[in-house]
Amino acid sequence: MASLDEYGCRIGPGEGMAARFGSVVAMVPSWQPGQRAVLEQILDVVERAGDQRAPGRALSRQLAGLLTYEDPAGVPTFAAFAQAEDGLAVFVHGDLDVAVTRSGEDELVSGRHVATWVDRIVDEPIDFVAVAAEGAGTRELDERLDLRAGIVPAGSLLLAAAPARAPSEPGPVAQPAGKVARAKTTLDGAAEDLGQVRGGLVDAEAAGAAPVSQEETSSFRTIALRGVTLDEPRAPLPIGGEPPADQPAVAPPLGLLLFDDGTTFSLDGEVVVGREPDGDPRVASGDAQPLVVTDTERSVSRLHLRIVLQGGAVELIDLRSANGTAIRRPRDSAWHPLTPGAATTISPDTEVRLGNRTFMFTAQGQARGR
Amino acid sequence: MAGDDGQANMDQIADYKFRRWLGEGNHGNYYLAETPPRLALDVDLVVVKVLDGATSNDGFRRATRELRVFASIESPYLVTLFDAGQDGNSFFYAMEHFPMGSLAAPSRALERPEVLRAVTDAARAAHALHEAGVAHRDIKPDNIELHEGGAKLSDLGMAQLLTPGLTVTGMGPIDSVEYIDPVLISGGRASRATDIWSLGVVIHRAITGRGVYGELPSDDPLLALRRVLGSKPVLDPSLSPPEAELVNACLAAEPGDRPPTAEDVAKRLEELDIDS
Repeated sequence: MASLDEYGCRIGPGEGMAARFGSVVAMVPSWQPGQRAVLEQILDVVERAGDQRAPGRALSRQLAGLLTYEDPAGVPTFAAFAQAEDGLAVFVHGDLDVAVTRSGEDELVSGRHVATWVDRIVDEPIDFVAVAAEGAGTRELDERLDLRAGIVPAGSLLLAAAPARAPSEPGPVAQPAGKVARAKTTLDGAAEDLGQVRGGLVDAEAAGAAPVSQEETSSFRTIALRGVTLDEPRAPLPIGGEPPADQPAVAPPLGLLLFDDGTTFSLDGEVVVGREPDGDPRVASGDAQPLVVTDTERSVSRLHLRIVLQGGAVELIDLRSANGTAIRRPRDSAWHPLTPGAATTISPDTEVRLGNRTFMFTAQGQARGR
Repeated sequence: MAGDDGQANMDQIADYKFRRWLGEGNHGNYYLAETPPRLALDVDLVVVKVLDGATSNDGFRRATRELRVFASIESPYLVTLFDAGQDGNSFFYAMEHFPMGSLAAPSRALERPEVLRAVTDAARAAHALHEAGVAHRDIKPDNIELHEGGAKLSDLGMAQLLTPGLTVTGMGPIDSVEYIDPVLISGGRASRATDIWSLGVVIHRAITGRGVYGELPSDDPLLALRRVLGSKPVLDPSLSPPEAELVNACLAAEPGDRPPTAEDVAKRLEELDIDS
């Protein structure tokens, strides 16, 4: 198998950067001053991956992980290429086209018109891979040019499988005629919702966008923590127990929910309790906080109970749960089922039973005791 | 989170192959794992913490932000974090492994100077975090990892980050609530002072072997919580006067009456070590 470190790497002048380390090559056609921090992280990931024999999939995962947690505006447009076990990994972020020439046929892997990035494994053998900044081309690049290792200023880049072979028709970057690659793309707002990212990957894989070996069917992503530096270090915590001046005062919680297993929840707004409380529209809209409560017998419903604060009072509303909600008031030995859908006011030290889970509502003042 | 979980049965996450389950802690399970080649580390084993599955994406982002701050601090007293990630529905992060165990479960009996040294190092770690704008929220003997030269503080209390409002997760041994400033359990904000409270309780247990609320009932979490919330800590009479003075200062009801920084706690611990 031809390895990326055997490709010739021709660089044309420009405002951007090209990097080559081992079997990894990256191209950043341009960047903004505010993107410098992420640019350095990308180059760092690229350099470290270069040491590995076939870092393709790992590199793409690391880049995806990095981008997931960064503000998209802070990420420069870039493309990265790395040898994978089963092809060439191509990763493109931003308005950039990568032209891949295979058996004389051009295929375009484009970062345009996707919300996050494009991540693809291209089958080998490959003749050329071309990428260039707006207005630059790769046709004119002299075949004697060859970046072997390091980071250099660049405006265009051409990878050629065999440096000796003349490029009869290198990938036409300016007027791509190839078909647009069906690629592993992720959905809008990836940085906002990891769940959607996950969904996107699974869908693309199911559609056969990238061959996935048995070993790698579980897709995962990581972000490096070793040696990270912060762009904006935080201010030290204030001394003397005073809350920081720049943080708004928080309303004191109205009470605590003490669960039978020790889980403690401080109540300072509306709450939806259940096995999957995220499914409640009030949670989705941010009007209520979700509180996940589970049990082995699934006696707790997905949406089981709503806790509402009315003035200073705490009200319970059973959300028509399968097994119902019951309460035991202080100094009362009997459990009383709640009427589904109706609001019931409870006083401090009332016990509440959802299926076979219980919690006690405790008022803040009594709980403190100090 | 509240209720059961089956994660203790996992044998792998991402490219971390688990050797064995280490235990359950604040909001997750800990595993001893083989170091993936990807990390290019010169150690064979790392510890992976797998967070409870019912974590919202918002919560994970908040936690990741906090981990990044933790990881960016250069301190010999903080455990090294390697990476954080997501595999399927599970979130995890990997960190240094300490064969000597933690102050809660050391692999060999510790001498008094070693115990005091470990707590002093934990106080220095807390100070480094505070100076970087982070409160630890979960300082306890289980999170003080031992090595031959002292100790490092691991982990961060993430309950409130992962699920706003959640102050005690109900995962792991409930007696760990004895280390939490009751203000935090009641939904108060974490600060230098709340971590200094925890250091006070850790010092008390490290020296006397006892908790400041007596022994909490491990089989009745609700009762344990109500005892922590409803009673004042009581110091063991076996403490020497300077020891009692330090623990009392850390446990002052008014945060302003506690030692102003964790570094001050570390210095006072060192003086104890000399005096004894």
